[in-house]
Amino acid sequence: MTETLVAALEVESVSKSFGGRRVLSDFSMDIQPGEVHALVGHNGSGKSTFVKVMAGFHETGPEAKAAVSGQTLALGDPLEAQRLGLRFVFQDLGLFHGMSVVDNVALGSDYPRDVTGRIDWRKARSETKKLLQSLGYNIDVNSRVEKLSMVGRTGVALARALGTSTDETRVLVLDEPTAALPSRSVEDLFAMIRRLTSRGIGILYISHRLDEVLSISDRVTVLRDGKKIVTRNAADLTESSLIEHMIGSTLDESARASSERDQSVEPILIADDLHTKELRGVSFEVRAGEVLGFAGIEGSGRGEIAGALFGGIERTGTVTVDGQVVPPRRTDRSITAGMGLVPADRSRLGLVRGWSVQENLTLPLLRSSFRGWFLNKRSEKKECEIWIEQLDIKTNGAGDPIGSLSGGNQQKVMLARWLRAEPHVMILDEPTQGVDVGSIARIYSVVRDAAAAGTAFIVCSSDEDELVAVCDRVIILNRGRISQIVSGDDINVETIERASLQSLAMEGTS
Amino acid sequence: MTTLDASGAVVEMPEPRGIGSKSLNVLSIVFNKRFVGLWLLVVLSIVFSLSEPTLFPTKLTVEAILGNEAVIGLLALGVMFPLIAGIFDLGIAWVAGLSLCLVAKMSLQHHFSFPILILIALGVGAAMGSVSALLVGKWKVNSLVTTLGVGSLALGIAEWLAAGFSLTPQLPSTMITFGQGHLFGIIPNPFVYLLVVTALMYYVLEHTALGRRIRAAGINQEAARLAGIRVRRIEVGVLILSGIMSGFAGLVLAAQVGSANSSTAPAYLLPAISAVFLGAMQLKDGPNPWGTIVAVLLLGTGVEGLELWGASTWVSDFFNGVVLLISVTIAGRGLLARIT
Repeated sequence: MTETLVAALEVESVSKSFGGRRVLSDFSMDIQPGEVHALVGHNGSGKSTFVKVMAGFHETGPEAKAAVSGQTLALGDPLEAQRLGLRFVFQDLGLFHGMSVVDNVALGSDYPRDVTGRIDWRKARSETKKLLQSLGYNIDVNSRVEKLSMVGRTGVALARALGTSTDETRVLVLDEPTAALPSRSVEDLFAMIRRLTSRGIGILYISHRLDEVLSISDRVTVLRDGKKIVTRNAADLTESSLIEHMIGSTLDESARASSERDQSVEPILIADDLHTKELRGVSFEVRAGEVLGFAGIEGSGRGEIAGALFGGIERTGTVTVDGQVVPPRRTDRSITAGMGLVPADRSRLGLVRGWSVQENLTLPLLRSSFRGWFLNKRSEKKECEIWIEQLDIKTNGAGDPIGSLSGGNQQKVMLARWLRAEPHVMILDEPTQGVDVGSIARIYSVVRDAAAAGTAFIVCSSDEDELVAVCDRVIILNRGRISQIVSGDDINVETIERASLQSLAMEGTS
Repeated sequence: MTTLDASGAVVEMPEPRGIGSKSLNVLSIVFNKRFVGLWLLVVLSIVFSLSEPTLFPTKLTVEAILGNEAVIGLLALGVMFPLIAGIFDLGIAWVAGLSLCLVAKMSLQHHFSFPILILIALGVGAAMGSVSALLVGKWKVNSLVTTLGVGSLALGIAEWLAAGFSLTPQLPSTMITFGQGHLFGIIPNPFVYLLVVTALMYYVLEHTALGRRIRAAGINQEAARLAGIRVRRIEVGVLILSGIMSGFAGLVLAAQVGSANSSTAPAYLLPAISAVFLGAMQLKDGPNPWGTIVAVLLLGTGVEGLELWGASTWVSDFFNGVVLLISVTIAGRGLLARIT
């Protein structure tokens, strides 16, 4: 860090409270030009709030000060933040799925016009294409965003944030940019980040993936309960020292329930010849108490396993739970057969926004203890409070709106929703996406306990470490087919990565 | 596991919630923006009573407002219920018009008894609702366009039935009591039916599992489906219910007015929709039964008072339009975004 330079971003004394709960107190940090400064912390530690303050979505007290490249930034004004050169890529990317790549990128800056003022589509397309290529993405700019993979969507979001005039960008804020990315493309993202920093752009990098944080950043700031705990050079930190700072103690890393499953036990779920857009004939079985993982890169079919089994998406092939055949697209029958699903995109596919924690928690199973002429909201609340306590969900109460919870706690609500239904087969799709270290450990321990009690789990994840940590058996998918099955002590990151990439390379040569 | 307890302990600092003393609490509830409609209703009543002391605060006025607003209210509820499930039913007033004309025509030609007329009214409503339900629920056509089309269909049939005349049948006496009688000598029977339907809807929406599912489907369809809720079945159900409500409103109108022509009921469309959107800001966030009733009464009182002040009839339509625009601007944007 060359101290002679004016900081790309400097913030001082930022505080923020929601309904009497202080989520950010007297927080200060700076980002130098060309520096990658990572911000890490527990769920609800204030990271997201800080980003939203910077973006001008939240008001702050008058004592808060901020400057971009020496120019004072009035907090609370999104346009001002944009004008001074702050750029944001939020975790959910904020893209318009029904619109084309060109339209999405143009919404960040503007469409190029011809002399008459009409949109110059040819120029718009070629500029967008060039911009994406300069970032290392080769994407058909006419395709609609919903048709792109997560890698492609991330690229579009980045392109939109930077716009055609990258020169004006002083600081780029990346909120969980790798949460939905397969590990293969993380390096590509890092290469892009390095290209940006070489141009003098400062990066604020927010992530729960500590190995990534340590490999890409120059400095790391740790937040805990809205307070800055420490800012250190990344070179002086290790993963475990970071975790210590984040939660105030060390984590028990021995995670996996090591016992091998007795394969003679009758399977509880049998999937036979599943076909979807991505899956091309996948068959497998899960036994009671088993944790079965699904690995695979984007497009391998891993992302469609959960939907195909539970009825979220169209499929052919049969799914049998406890001897009952579950018809496709019938989520209600899946539930009565004993399945539960925690989907990957919890805000779009899981939660009802505007509703309370309580209402979200009980949604799939309102008939159990609350039936009668009136819903018994008091007993409903009591039951929810037990779950809040049991899963350590951080909220002011069961009546709090679901939106006031951090991502990890929302995920715990999703988990509680289904654990409450006591399913025989629980499907978890990307269970710890955008979830902090503390909550991840809690989620894993919940999975282990429930599995020990006889629940079968199907865990689809792009995080190989996660699969190693929780699974008894892992099926690695590739191009819609099963490429390898590993179990017990043979499960490790190298094997999973090799199996998902190797066969791809083989197919690539043919 | 102990580490988790440790991490839990870190955040265990429950601060007192930011609400002041009890008395302040009561005040903030009374002056909450959700009660603006009720306050306005009181203020309007006082203003009209003071300026027209001989005309406004009378039994006749109360009867007129409640009687007039009953049909509007029934139709408003017919819009509100599907709207909560994410479906916009614009066809209600025309379907009510069809029910009105059919009841009159059947009574005129066949002298059917009252129970049979009830079946005819509810049946034709259910049939029209089923057409919308089939298109929206099964073939996933946009509800706004579908119900507009079905409404036009209903209007066409009603015009064919009435053939441009005003039908004035000899209604069964039970039906006349049904439409023109009073409870406690002051509340017109139709308004009593409105209150009963409102209470039923409130009960279903707020106090049953079915109501939760309907509301969830209206907010996040895909999340509701993945929670095992049969969203399409809900869509079909609310559209048929809306049709039955319209049929019933037509029956009430027939009994109230005693005559029928094809242009009577469609005039109720705009006031009903205005009431739904105004009601979406009353008592609770979003469309809700009692809020709709508050809105219906507020609109009815406003129109009645303006007419007593000597305003011509165009003022009431203008007034409804202003209310609709204001309430859609304030409360309805999110609602409409969901549906269109």
